[in-house]
Amino acid sequence: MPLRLLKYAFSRDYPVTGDIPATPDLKSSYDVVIIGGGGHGLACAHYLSKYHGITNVAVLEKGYLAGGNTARNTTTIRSNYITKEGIAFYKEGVQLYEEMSQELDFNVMFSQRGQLTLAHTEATLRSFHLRAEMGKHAGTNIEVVDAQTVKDLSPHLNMDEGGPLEIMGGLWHADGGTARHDAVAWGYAAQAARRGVEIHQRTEVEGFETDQGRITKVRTNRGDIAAGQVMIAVGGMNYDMAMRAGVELPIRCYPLQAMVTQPLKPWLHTLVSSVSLHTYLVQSSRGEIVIGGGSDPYQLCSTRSTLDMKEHLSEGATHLFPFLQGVRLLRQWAGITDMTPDYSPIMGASPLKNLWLDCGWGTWGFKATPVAGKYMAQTIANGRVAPILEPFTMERFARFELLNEMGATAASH
Amino acid sequence: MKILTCPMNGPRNINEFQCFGPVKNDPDPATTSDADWARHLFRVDNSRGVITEWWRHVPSNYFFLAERNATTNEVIRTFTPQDAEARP
Amino acid sequence: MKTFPLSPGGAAENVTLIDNVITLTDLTPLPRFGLKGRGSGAWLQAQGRPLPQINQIANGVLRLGSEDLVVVETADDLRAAWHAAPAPKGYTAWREETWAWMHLSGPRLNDVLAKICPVDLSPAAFKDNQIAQTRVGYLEAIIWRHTFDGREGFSVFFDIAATAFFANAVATAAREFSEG
Ligand SMILES: Cc1cc2nc3c(=O)[nH]c(=O)nc-3n(C[C@H](O)[C@H](O)[C@H](O)COP(=O)(O)OP(=O)(O)OC[C@H]3O[C@@H](n4cnc5c(N)ncnc54)[C@H](O)[C@@H]3O)c2cc1C
Repeated sequence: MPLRLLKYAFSRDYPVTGDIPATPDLKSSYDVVIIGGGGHGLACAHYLSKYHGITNVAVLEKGYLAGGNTARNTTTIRSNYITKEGIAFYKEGVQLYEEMSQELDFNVMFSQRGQLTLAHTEATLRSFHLRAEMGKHAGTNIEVVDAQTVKDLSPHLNMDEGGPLEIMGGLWHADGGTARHDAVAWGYAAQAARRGVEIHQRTEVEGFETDQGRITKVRTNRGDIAAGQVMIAVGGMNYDMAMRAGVELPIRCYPLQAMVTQPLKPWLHTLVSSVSLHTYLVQSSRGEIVIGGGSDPYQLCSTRSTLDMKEHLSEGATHLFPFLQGVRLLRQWAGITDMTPDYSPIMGASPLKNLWLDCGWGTWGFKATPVAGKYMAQTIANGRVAPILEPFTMERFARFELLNEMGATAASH
Repeated sequence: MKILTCPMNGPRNINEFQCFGPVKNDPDPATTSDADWARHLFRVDNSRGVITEWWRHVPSNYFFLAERNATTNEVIRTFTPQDAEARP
Repeated sequence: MKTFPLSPGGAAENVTLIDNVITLTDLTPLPRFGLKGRGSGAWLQAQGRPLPQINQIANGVLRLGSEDLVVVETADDLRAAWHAAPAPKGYTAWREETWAWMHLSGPRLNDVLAKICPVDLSPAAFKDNQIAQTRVGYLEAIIWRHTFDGREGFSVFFDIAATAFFANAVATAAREFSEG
């Protein structure tokens, strides 16, 4: 890649390469139909075409590429979860981000600057110890740090010594980072398209025809198509899409909101997250401070954003970094997140033989874009759920084997 | 702020309330199969139309019901469980 | 005035209560008796205590729900009678143990309350016998109009563990009226 960049810099006409071909006509049948052109669908298409030789693939996207939650997310990438299944899975996700720019020959601006989660109470600190020990056991970079180290890592923080929100310590996850969300999706799309995957934008799936436990047709606004295998990865629409195939998922939709400030000079060098304040901050490569928090307090299928949340996030952010008072907000937005009861995703098989699920990504799925793509592709290519995904299948609910990641997810994505 | 009308306390800011999610039926644990019990526990009405939910006014610990449109967020009505029984 | 000593060395110990544009008085040591659950209303009525409507106070009885009552006057003999009485009589709600009781008065009372309580407590909107179960100073609270020691104002019940927090919230809200 560096060579190519250099060559480009010395070229005379700075040629524009159209990475993603215009939407072609729909064929009548594909080996694999991927519903949803977000990061997850596109990553799966990449892995199918590059590692499994499956290129007769269509990605169907109702709007424009990666315009769903991939476009709205705050790009926290981390593996400091608490279940051993979760940590193993997300850890590989982080590793794949480390190699992603090479893998895709596309700069995804992965910036592994570490995530600092703050404890304002003894109870939070105790839960951090458990997370740190689970993480160390699985080989991730994670440790509990004292207040002084917190200060050293993020010198601008208001430690609130003696106050009600005094920072007692933190969970320091040196593996944590961020990446450019558009680049991730775009990189996968470009790679997949180069190998023959068809990317159909403005192609909305409206329903299915099924026969003897299989999907026989995928109905779209541009006509019906037959498919060998079908994968659902439509973000906030996963519940509805699965219902159209008669599959009932334990998912509820909640809005998740975020906002950004005007660009500032670089000063916030880590990702900072506060459990008690339900606020997290990261400075983007453009200098904007991206601020996120918890989900809306009740279920709703709407991407409206609210003054309440803006006030709440502003309060949290200005408490942590008082000098942010007076900084202007540029944008506020929301995405519909598909929340599961245990804050873990639903991946793998469905009751229909050729329908595969990459759903329930809720508020935390961007970090899993590469690893979910890799193993969903393997699952579809082999017709068998990849071992690393087995704990995440929807049958876990019937077996009462939940993977509870609520505490490691709710405030810090 | 959005206002919700509590049947006991009147109109209040929505942050005085806690949502307990859509009403579920009450299967008999003795006769329900494991699969149906799992569905009862984990599956929740996620339809986009009008849903009926349990809410609680936190300061008074008062539980009541609300009909709310899950897409437009319009609250159609709030009522007590007794009101619900009284309706045909 | 000092706050009711909760636990020695606890957060509320030595917290001073604001006394300028607004005056906070800690009434936590005063007697009160809370009853809850089926039979509590009937039992109280049988003691010659008529019940007000829900969310009203009359003759020292606050009615917080159909069977949720707090008596704030002469509670001690009532408690003894309740203990001796046969069921059904509801159950004791331990209101004297779990709640702090603060009185607010002073020249800027309405300005401060407008900042820390979302319910309109002005005389036109909030009648003398009314109770609001709402938030005061970020806490779940019960508030009603109460003249104490000749001072007109409001009384508030809230979680006793939040005593220091409440005192601080009121003082913070009052600051803009005392400076300048
Ligand atoms: C505000 C916010 C902040 C977040 N922050 C983080 C974070 O910091 N870290 C993290 O890891 N995760 C985060 N997430 C979660 C993350 O964004 C998602 O889990 C992830 O992007 C899901 O990717 P996806 O490809 O599965 O879905 P999406 O990106 O939503 O893509 C699904 C696509 O399906 C398309 N589609 C929908 N219906 C149809 C149809 N009928 N036919 C065809 N196509 C259809 C949509 O148009 C969309 O493009 C956040 C989410 C939000 C909303």
